[in-house]
Order: sequence, then C-alpha cells, then structure tokens
Amino acid sequence: MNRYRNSFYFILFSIFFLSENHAFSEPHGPEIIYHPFSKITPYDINNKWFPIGWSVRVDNIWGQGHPTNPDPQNICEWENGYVYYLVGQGHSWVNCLHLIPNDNREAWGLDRWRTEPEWSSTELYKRALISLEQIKIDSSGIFDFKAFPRMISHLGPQGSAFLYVLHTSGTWKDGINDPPSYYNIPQSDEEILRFRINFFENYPQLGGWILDDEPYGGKIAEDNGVRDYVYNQLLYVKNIIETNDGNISSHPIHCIVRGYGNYDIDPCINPQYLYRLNNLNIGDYIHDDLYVYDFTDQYGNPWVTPWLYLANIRTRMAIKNLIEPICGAPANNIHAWMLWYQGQSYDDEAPGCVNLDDNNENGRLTEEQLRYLCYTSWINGAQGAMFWELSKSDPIMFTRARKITFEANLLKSYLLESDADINATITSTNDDDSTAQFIIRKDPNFIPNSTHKSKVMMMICNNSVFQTNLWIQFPQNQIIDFSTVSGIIPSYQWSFTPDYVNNRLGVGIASCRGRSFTFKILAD
Amino acid sequence: MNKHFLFFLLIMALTSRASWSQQQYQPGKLVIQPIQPVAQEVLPFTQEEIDFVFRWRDSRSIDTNFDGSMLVESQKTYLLNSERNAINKVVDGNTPTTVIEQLNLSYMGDKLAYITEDSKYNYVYIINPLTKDTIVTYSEKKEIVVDKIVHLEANADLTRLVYTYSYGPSYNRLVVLNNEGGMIKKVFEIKQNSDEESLYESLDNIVVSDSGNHIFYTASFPTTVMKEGKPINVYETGMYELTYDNNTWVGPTKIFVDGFSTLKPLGVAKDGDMLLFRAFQKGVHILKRTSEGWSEPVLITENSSGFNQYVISADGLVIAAAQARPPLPPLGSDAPLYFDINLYFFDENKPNLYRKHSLTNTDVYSFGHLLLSRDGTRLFWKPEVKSGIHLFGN
Repeated sequence: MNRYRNSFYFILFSIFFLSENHAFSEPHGPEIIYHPFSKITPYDINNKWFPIGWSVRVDNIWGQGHPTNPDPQNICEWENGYVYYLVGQGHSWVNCLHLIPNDNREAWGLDRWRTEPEWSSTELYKRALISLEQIKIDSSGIFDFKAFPRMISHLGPQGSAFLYVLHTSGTWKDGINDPPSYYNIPQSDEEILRFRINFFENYPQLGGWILDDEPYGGKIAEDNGVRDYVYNQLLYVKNIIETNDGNISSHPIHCIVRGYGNYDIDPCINPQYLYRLNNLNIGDYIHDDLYVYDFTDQYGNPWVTPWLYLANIRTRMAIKNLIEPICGAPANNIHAWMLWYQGQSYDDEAPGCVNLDDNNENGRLTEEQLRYLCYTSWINGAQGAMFWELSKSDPIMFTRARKITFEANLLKSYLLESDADINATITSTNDDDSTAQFIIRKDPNFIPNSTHKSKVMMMICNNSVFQTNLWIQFPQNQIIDFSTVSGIIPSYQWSFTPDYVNNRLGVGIASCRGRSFTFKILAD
Repeated sequence: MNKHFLFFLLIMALTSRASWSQQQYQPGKLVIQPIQPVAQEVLPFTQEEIDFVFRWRDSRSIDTNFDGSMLVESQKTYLLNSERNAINKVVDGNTPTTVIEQLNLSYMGDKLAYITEDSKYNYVYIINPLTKDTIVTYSEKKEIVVDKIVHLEANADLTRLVYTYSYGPSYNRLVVLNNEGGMIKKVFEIKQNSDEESLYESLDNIVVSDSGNHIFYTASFPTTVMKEGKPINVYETGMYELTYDNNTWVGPTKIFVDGFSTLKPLGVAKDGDMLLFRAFQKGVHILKRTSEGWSEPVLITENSSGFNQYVISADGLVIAAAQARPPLPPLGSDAPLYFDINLYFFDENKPNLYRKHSLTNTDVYSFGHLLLSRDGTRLFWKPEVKSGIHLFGN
C-alpha cells in the first residue's frame, strides 16, 4: 500500500538510527496550567467542555429566497433553515457555532433589509438556536449544542474597522448597499442590547456571548485616536450584558482577539493598559485568530523560523499574558485560551500570503500545516477548535477544516484531562533537542484491569525546520504495551519504532508536523 | 465516446465565433443587463428566485451550457428566452439530496453532474436538469467520515469525469471516471507521482478538455533533501498534464515555462491544445500546443490576483475575466474588493495579442461568480452582494 511506504522508510531509517549514539537531553513536554471551558457554568471544572465548531452568518437562516431575507451576501451558510455544513454530512462532532450578525444592523437587533418588524434579526437568532438543536436531535440524538451570538459589530463605513457604531448613531446608514430609507431606528443602544439579552437569556442553547470580533484596541486604534473610545465601548457593552442577563453565571462573555495587532494583550510591553485587562478582561474567554498572512511580513519574510512556529509562540504568549500573572497584570485564572483558526483562503498572489513550504498552496495552509497549528496550540494549552466562516473559504479549506475538527473530537476527552503524570523524556534526537514538544494525557474513560493500568494519548510536535527522529523514554514503572500503539485514526500517516528492552518509543516526524496516538500502560 | 457528438462539437467550435469578436467594440454598447422575467403572469417568479446560491468562491455552484441558453444552480434550472436576455422558464424540483456541489452542465444542457455525500459515501450524480431524473450514479465508500470528493470536473458531454479525493490525513488522489453505457467506471487513478514515492499533499485546479482526453492540474508532494547534513522536507510542486492517447493514459507530464513558477491552469480551449494559466506574480498567459511542444506563453494580463476569475471559450477566441480592481485593500482589511469585468478577444491580425474590452460598471463589485458560455457569446456575472444575476452580451 502506498500509504505505508513512509512507514517502511522510517523502519529502515530506524535501523540506522538505533545504531547511532545520541546525546541525552532534558525532559520535554510543557507543564501547562490550562483552564477548560465549561458548557454549563463558567469555570466549572466538573463540566469541562471542548468547543469544536465554526462561525456562520445568521442572517440567511431560512435560506435563499426567503421574503425576509433577500440579501445573498451570506452566501448560503444555511440551507432551508439548517446550517448547510451540518445537513446530511455527518458532522456530528460539531458542538457549537459562533453566530455572526451580518453587520451593525443585525448586531443591533435590526433586520438588515427592514422588511420585517423590528427585532426580526433577533428572531432569526432564536430560530437559529432552535434549528441547531433540531439538527443535533435528527442527526445524532444529542441535545447538546451551544451557540454564541455576537453582540456588537464594529465594522464601520467603508471597512473602517476601528470605528465603532455604538454611540455614533447614523454611521451605520453609510454602509455599502444601504438603501436611504432606513429610519425609525431606536436611538438607545442600551435599549437594543437589553432587548436582545432578555430575548436570549433563558434559552438553554445559549452558550454565552461573543462580545465582539477583533476589537481594535491596538496600534491602529491608537493611530486613529480611538483607543480609549474602543475600550469604553467594549466595557459599556460588557456591563450591559452583565447587568441584564439574569443567567449571566451560565453565560460567559467571549471575545475574539488577534494576538498580534488588534489588542494590547502583553502587559509587559504595554503596562499602561493593565487596567483594561483588569476591568474588561477582554472577555471571560479569549479566542485568538490566526490568519494565513500572520506568519510573514508584507514581503513574505517569516517572522520566526520555522514560520509556522508562530502559532506556538502566540499560544504560549497568550497563556502567559492572560492567565499567568506577569508584569503586574492581575492574577487571573479564569480565562481559557483558544485559537480560532482561519478557514479562509486569501489572495495567493499577495506576497504576505505566500505558503513558504508549498507554493501551490499560497494563500492558504495545507492540511498538515493546519494540523500542526492545532496540535502545537493544544500542546501549549489552547482549548478548543474553531474555524472562521467557511462560506468565505473554498472546498479545499473546508475539507481540511473539517478533518481537523474531526480529530479534535477524537482527542477532546484526552485534551480536557490534566497531565498523565508520566515522567517521560525525549532522550535523543538528531536535531536541536529543544524543538520537539509532547504531552501525555490519560483516557478518562479507561477502566484499569489486570493487564493494563491506564490508556494514554501522546501528542508530539516537531517545531524545528528539520525532520526529527527521537526516542521517548518512559520510566521503568510505566511499561508501554507496544502492541496497543495506535494512530488517532486508522489511516493516520505515522509510524513508530518500539524498543522493548529500554521501554522507549521511537518516533520520526517531519518539520512542523504534529502527530498523536494512543497506547496502554501495562499493569504493575 | 460518442463520435457523432464529438463531430458536432468540432463543427460548433469551427463555425462559432463570439459575436463580440466579429465587430468593433463600441463603448457603451455592451452593458450589464440584469436578467428579468419576461412573462411574470405566465411564469410568476420574483427577483429572489434568481438569487443563485454561492457556496464557494472558486468552484461551480452554477453552470451554463454551450450557448448560454441554460443556467443551473443547486435546485433550479433556468431557461433563457430566444433572445437569451431574460429567463423564460424555471424548472424547479428536488435533486436526490439537498446539498449538491461542483455542478457541471453538459454542452447540450441535457445532463448535469454534481457531487454530494452522506456520512458513509461520496457520490457523483448525473441527472437530467430538466426533469431532475437520475441518469446514473457513482459512489465511493468513505474510510472515515471526513473523506471527501473535493472538486469535480467534466468534459463536454459528461462522458469523462475527473475528481480529487481527500482521504485520511494528508492524502489526495486524482480519479478519472468514464461514463458510458449507462454506467460510471473508474478508469484511472493517481495516488502518487509516477517518479516519486511520496503521496500528494495537494491536488487542485483541474481543467478538462472538451473530449476529456487532456486533463491539467496542479499538485504538490513532499520529498526529502539534506540541508546542513540533516533531512528537511520540501515540496515538489508543478502543473501537470494527463493525456489519453491510443487507449493509453500518458503522464502525468510536468509542464515547464521558463522563468515562471507556481503555474495554475485556469481553462482549456481547442480540446486541450490551448491552455490558459496563471503564474505566480507573472500574470495570466496562453500556451499553445505545437508539434514541438508548448509555445512561448502569450501574455493576457499582468493582473494576476488570486481573487480574479478567468474563463475561456471553447475556441480560445474569447477570455472573460473578473479582476480585482487595484489597488487591492491591505491584507487584513475589512474593506471590500471591487471587481472589473473585462473581455479579451483574440486578434487575428496579431496572434500574440488579445484585445481587451472593459465592461466595468459601478454595479460590479465585491466577490462574485463568472460564467462564460463556451461559445463565447454570453457572459454571466453574479455579484455576491447584489441580488440577481447579470448578463453581458446582446
């Protein structure tokens, strides 16, 4: 079989590898303080939850041609009232959606085209929640789906992303395609927000609130003189949510930020904005989104080497800045961090969108690159897998995104566990010892028996530019049952070398690749 | 292969000329003309009914036949009137499944091929777009639920179908099907480059010639080289041609163009003897097959943004383009893209030159979907943020 050729070569290489002497190094594997999501009550570790999902626009919920919704801009994320991606294709592992209002009108609870009574977009939100539950009931029998509607949108006229519309009544009318006849808009922002909050707060499907998408509090906002203004707007909305949601204890407030660019999340670099972290906390949960062009500068030069390692850096930076108290930042252990991966594809001719590994993939990431981004983030503490609007993407990126979310579903029970407390170490590589990371997590559902005392999942990432062949040394009181080593899905392109004598596991892994597999530990 | 039909296509290709290419272009004459219902009292439908569905930017969620007299989208077929400037009839009806993708309408308009899937199988359907009756189906069982047919392309009469299949982690393959005798059979499959052991990392940009005997695509596969004495993964990428000749599949053969990199096929004309392609930051060009191989590239336009769309007529005389209007907004900006619609006509007096006609209109903006009838006489543009579909032509 062709797909096993690489395994064959790895075995050949391993024969060579076994004969070589390799320096022993320090143990690998990060010790992460992570804070999983909860689907019931924020910060409730007894109800840990691994969000897996996508963003969809909400304003076309009844599909094409619905009289209340003639606007085709959302390009069919809904099919006859159901999310297109979830219809008939077995995406039973998707457990949440971020509902995107089409624009400021939607965010304010107003119908985009004003053909229905006011508040109709809120009605669409409600229908979205009901539809999602129905899909899950029909397809999997699971009544367990969460939706996160976004409360405000800051897109201003002509794409001026830093310009917020709250407290700037009238600017929303200047949007593209706005018919001039939109009047009778409630003038009170708070009135609109209260209406929406009260409308949603008792729905069990409501998972929480998305405060905003990429609020601009960073350099761009500063250059435009609106930094404090943006901050105050977010705080204003957050306060309205907190004071009007009768179930706020069950509804965490999320916010989507960009680790580089949109907001000052490094309290060491911007200590003057510590109060914002303290007062606003940006959101209870943070989602960082990573674009294709984040990895290089405008000329296509990578920020770091290897270039995909940026995802690793950003996750660790976010954990450090937002969860661990540093530089006088408020100690705050309530945040969870999640990377929000861009399923979009971008202009493959733009220098900043070059795929430095595979030029046929300029403007997007390959499946393996996307997998590495997720794995290296999960290893470093990210919790969840979310992809941005797939309708804005293409069939290729959609296919890749759903593969990764499927893997997230297979891995989530392990990723929600704390460290397996197995003191394994990487004992030799043919490369810089500091470039590989791994985690080992127990299967919480495994029941010990006379043969095996535990089952674990191991996830490894090679963060170097070179292929790495490494030995993972297990302690003598944790004997691997090599016969149980298994890739996370049957056709996984992966191989290993058992060393029964030394209780070592040999793994060969290419540059910027992530792999995960499970095995059992023999009973003592 | 139906020889009579091939002969018919040949005659059509030889006799048809894009009407735009036969007359001097007059500014203002060719304008965007929204398609309107012609007899609402007879066949009532609203503007919303021609809000075609767009699932993806870069694939076929709508298609048209050879002369642009028929349009199809996921659940409806639209027949244009005799002047072909208005929709005369809407054929509604359900396809076997709700979600269908990658529509390929035959030149005659008598068959429609598309893909769909459920949790266990991927399917290729061929139906009659006027009756919605299923003509023939083909299925491939999934190993895991995420295995998927990504792209489907077909030749003129849907006797040859080509798809890319993404299965497991990081595996892609190219599959060629024959549709004949009421059955669809797999006749060729490429899992790996013929000279390499590595599996494809990516397969994309498939174009199929009218006869189905020439298939162009891009591919990349990982290979290992040594750097500083250590192994490092690099990707071998290229544009390839697969040819069916004398009952034998030949290739894939890599197509090189000096000085160009990252070649991507955009369209094919003259049954595979004329290839429209894009090269990274080098613009869009035409290659012509000669007795000595491929010709020097003929420049069509230097505007090669990846957001652009290009379609070429079957005879290669007309190229339609939707081009992002420079300057493009900076990366990460939420500002919209604006598009210009341009036509490039082959100039018989200057064989290395295409004459450009701009059809720019203020209504043409944002993303959209570009269709050109294969005879080159009708161009359809469906902007993403505007209702309706627009027809260019007379």
